Formats: sequence, structure tokens, C-alpha cells
Amino acid sequence: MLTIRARRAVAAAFIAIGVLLAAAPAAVELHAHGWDSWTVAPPFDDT
Amino acid sequence: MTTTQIRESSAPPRVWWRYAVWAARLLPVAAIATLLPGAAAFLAGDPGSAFALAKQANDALGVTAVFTLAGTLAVGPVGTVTGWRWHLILGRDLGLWTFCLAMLDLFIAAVTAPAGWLDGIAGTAFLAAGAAATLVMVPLAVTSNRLSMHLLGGFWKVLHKMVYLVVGLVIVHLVLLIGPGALGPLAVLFGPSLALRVPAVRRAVVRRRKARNVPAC
Repeated sequence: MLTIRARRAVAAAFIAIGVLLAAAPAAVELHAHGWDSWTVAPPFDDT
Repeated sequence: MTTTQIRESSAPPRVWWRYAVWAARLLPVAAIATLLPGAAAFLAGDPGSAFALAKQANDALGVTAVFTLAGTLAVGPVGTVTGWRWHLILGRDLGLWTFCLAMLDLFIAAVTAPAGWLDGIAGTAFLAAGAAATLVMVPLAVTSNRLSMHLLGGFWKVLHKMVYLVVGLVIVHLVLLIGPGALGPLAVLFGPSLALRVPAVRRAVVRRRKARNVPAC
């Protein structure tokens, strides 16, 4: 059985993993190409 | 609530409800099935099939994932309004479906992108928001089981409040993709569920239901 402190640590670790995973693709893309390449145009815009 | 009442409220009220619940649990398979011809063409190397598959995935998987996410969020409030307990299993099922559909959508976006996988999932702001919404669900999907609930105790609920972050990122994703016009349908989809999660609103609804003495079914 985990102690309260261990449970809190595990939950915090999961939250941190989620936030890092979410931020990673955008961070890597921006680091590689910069803000200028980051358009808001959808890729399926045929017009 | 007596044991008998709990047992009654945990059972589907009618036999056809049981089939409806099973249909709801399996319905997202249809979204994946619609992609099979496009995926086969892509694997066969047909010209133009990558763009077609990416668009198809966006339409079928993305839209279905938004609906399953809305369903996941609606499970709790439906219990608040009706007193039902038997449908709560749908929360986990629809949540896991949301994750699977979104991950598949992300995978297809990555492998069909002409400028590389990173450009496919984060090349534009709307793609990055969608990828973030999907990846933030990873810890939620990993802990969507009884063992994790047992191990994390009360912190499990704290962790799973990240679903609100997912909803926020999905709204950003769709507003960047479609425009401000997406806000109306999104408000209809998510608004009632989110409103009924406000503690004061929830308490008022439960109090009113109990005052009317509506039997749970």
C-alpha cells in the first residue's frame, strides 16, 4: 500500500509526463523552424 | 440509499437499454472501419492517397473523438440529473475510445505528412493543439483502470481533472481549424456537461431531484 506522499508523487509525475508530452511536439517544431514557419492555416484548405 | 436501491439504480432500466449501451461502446469502431479503403490505398502507394487519408482521418477520427470526449464528460452529469449509476462504465469506455481515435488520427497525420512526421503533428498551431490534446491523454489512458484507482486513491480524481485541459486544447484546435464559428456547436456539446460539474449547480440539481423524489431507474 502506498503512503499518501507516494500517491501524491505518482499523481504529480503522471501530470508532469502529460504536460511534457503535450508540449514536446510544438516545442521541437518551434525550436527547429521558429515562429515564422508556424502558420495557422489549415492544411486541407484547397482554395 | 438501501442496497436494493443501489442494485436497482445500477442496472439498465430496460433490456433495450442494454443493447443501446453496447452499441454506444462499439460505435467508434465504425469510424475506424471507414478508413480501411483509404489506408489500403496509402499502403499500396497510390498517388494522392496520403492527402486523401489524412483528410479522411481528420473527418472521421477527429470528429468521432470530439463526440466521444463529449460523451465521456456527459456521463457524470447524466448521473447527477437522473440518479443513474449503471451507465458510469461508459465514462471509461468512451474516454479510452477518445484516446485511441485521437492517437490513430495523430499517427495518420504523422505518417502521411509530406514534410516529415513532426510537421504532420505540429507544423501549424492547430495541429500542435490537437497533438497536445492527444498526448495529454496518455497518463489518463494509462491510469484508466481499477489498479490505478486503488493505488492513487483520492489523487486519481485530481489526475483525471486533466480532462478539462484536454477539452480546452480541443476547443483551441477546432477554433484554429474551423474559425470562431466552431464555438457555437462546441458550447452545445460541452456546455451543459461542464455547467453541471460546477459544484453549486450539481448540488442544486441533486437537491431538486431528491425533492421531487424521482425514483432512480
